[in-house]
Amino acid sequence: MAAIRIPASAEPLLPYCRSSGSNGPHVWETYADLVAFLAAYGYSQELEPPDNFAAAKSTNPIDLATFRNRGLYPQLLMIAIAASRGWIVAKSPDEICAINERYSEVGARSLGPEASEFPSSLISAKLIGLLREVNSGSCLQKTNFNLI
Amino acid sequence: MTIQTLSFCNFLRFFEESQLALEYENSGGSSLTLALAPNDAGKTSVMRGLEFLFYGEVEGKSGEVTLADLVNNEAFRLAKGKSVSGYVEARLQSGDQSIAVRREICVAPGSGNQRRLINQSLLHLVGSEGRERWRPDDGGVIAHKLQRLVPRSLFDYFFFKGEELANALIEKQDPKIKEGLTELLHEDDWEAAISDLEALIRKLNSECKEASGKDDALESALEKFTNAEERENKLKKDLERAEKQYHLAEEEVGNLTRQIAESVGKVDEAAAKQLAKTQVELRNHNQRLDAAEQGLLSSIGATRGLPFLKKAFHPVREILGDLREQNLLPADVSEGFIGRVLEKGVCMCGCDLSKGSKHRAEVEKFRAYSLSAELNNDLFNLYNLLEADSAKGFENDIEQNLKSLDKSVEFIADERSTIKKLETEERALKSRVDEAAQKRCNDLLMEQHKAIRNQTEQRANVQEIRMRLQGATNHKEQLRKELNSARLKTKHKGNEKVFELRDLASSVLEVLEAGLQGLKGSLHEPLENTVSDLYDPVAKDGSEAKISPSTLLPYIQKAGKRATFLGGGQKQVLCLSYIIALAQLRRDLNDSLRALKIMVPKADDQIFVMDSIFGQCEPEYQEAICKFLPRKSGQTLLLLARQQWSETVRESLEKQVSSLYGFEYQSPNSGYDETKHQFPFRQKNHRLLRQAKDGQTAFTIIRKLSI
Repeated sequence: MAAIRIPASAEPLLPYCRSSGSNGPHVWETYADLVAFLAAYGYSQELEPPDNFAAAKSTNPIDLATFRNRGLYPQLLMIAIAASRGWIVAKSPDEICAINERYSEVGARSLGPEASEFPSSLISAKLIGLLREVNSGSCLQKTNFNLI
Repeated sequence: MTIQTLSFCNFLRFFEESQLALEYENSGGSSLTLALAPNDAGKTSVMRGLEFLFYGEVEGKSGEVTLADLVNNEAFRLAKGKSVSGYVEARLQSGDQSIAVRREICVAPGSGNQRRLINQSLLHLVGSEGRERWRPDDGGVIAHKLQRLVPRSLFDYFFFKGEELANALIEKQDPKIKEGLTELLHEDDWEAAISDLEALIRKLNSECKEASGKDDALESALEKFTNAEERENKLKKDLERAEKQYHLAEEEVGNLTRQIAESVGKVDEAAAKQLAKTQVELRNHNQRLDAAEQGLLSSIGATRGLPFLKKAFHPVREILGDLREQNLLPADVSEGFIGRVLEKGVCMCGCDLSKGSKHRAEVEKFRAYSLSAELNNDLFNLYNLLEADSAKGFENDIEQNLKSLDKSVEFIADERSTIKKLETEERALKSRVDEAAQKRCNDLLMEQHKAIRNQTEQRANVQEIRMRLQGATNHKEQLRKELNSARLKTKHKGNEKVFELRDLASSVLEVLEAGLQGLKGSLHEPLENTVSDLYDPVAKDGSEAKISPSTLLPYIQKAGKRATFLGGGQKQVLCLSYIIALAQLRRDLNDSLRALKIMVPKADDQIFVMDSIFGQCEPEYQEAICKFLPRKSGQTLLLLARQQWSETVRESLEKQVSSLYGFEYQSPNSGYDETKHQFPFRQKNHRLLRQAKDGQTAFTIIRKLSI
């Protein structure tokens, strides 16, 4: 069964998942939500995904069925199609997994390093900042707030 | 006891011999002797001299070093290495008796700058007039007499520094006054008499038992009765102890209540309430902010990062759109169906699809672009999700999530602003509220709660013992009847005398016990009446003097409530009223006890020696003290420093003074403006501060001044 490995660079973000058992603050419910989020963010970076991939040692790969159950599969599929610029990739679950793994690594590298030192207000500010960047026409862009 | 003359010789500040002849008046005239003294001139030396005379110690100390320092410095200097003596002497009057006593001290230089005590002795004057001689107090008779005349525990109340005594009595509710009151009532004498009678009764009991030995019924009745009597006595003692405990508990509650009232006075109640409210609000808003921040993070997670993929929506939808145009999506023929046809090797139209055949290659090419049922669903689902106007599509999802985030962010910004305002408010309120006072107040409330519980328990205990005592007394009376009946029936009448004697002793004991109880209980009312008579007419604010029934200490009541803050002279007036009342009661009680043949020393009018009683006094209270002081006590020696010799005091007191003295102070310090230290009295200015000659140490000579 095809599965997605969590990149080693995402380890600092794992405590932000409720399922890690940490005291919080929690952004994501499960590791699957984190990986899908990172892959989306990684894709938006428009960077070439790295060839070599290092998986996190503290967790097991996440089965694709888990993503399906969490309603995350369509966006993984979309990333794979968008990245390969063709639908045929959809016929290969392993390929879908590989593409998303690499983009999640790109996302983790951008978000992860300093995340462990963030207070909750800082991580929300950062994430909202990122969301604001890619949604320049949204309400978020218009709202003048200072979260820090 | 009054003092006719008081002399000092080479004692503390007084150099060589000085004497004060004190006025005494018991027919309503003035009895005031006034001594005016510059600062350091020896007012305190008068108090210490009296203490030394009566008890052979000063300020509760009697060690050699303390005593050796009592000899005047100038006299010691002039002795040039030889021994030198100092003394305090007084002629005391108690009733018709007069006694002259002197306590002397002799010192010599010791090692270094120290002095060496050679001896101290108490002397009294004996012999007929003109042939009088000082004799030592052999056997300590005079020392005992002095202590009985002015009990140690009452000294501070009769010879006192105004403000200090007022603070001890009224502010601190000094428990030492209890000892003074015990002396006042001569409780020891009563208790000694009761104890003697109890011993006599025990002895008579055994004699009665012996006398009834031949009559079993009488012996048994006597035994039962004495047992019942013992039980009753034991319960009486238990009751006395329990009542004492109860009064102590009651006193503690009273003290704590007063302390709470004082603490509450230091707390800005409105600010404290507002602070508590603000702190609750602040806590609530902080909790809401925490929850909102967590909610915001969860909302960010709930976006699943979809907003980052917006740029991919259009190209992916185009790719999937192509599939649709090619009729591949939704799949009209599934990948599984084609697979099954290829497996069979024959098409439905009958064409050969065996391996290597031309048609098979075409069909396999078609299969590569066909979709499985699952993939068909996934792609079709994705295609729908990417549809811009779809209610369940990604675009709508993103819009909803971003709206939710906006709301969270706004809410958080509002909460932060509210918290900031509340924190500013909290800081301002905290500066108005003395937190330490508030904590103290809370602690006191908890202590008071415990004390009230203890008081309730003690009250219940007293009530229980009272009931048991009532039962025991009834039982004893029943047994007394049975004993009396047995005594009537007995044939051995010869020993009735001892029974009668026992009955008599028992009756006397009851009278004594009731007397002591009555005395203790009835002290409150006359004390309160006397203090009221003295205080109430001079109180300017309509307040009334009261006496606590449990502590017998004075307090002031205003508009039905106990006043906690006394100032401006109220304290001093109340204190003076109280001690004058005590002295009057002491005199009356002693007369009553002597009438009952209970031998206590004769206590008539009491001399008061008062130092600095006008400190922190407003003019109206100064005036009030000046008016009633010389008339209400038989003998008063008032010591006043220049700063208390105000115009009000002078105008009020000048006419009342019957005898005037000045403490002429020779100061080694130079640079005084001597005119500022002059004491005006009537038409004259008395100069009491002088520059000492070179080499002289500070000393004072008492001079009688003309009025």
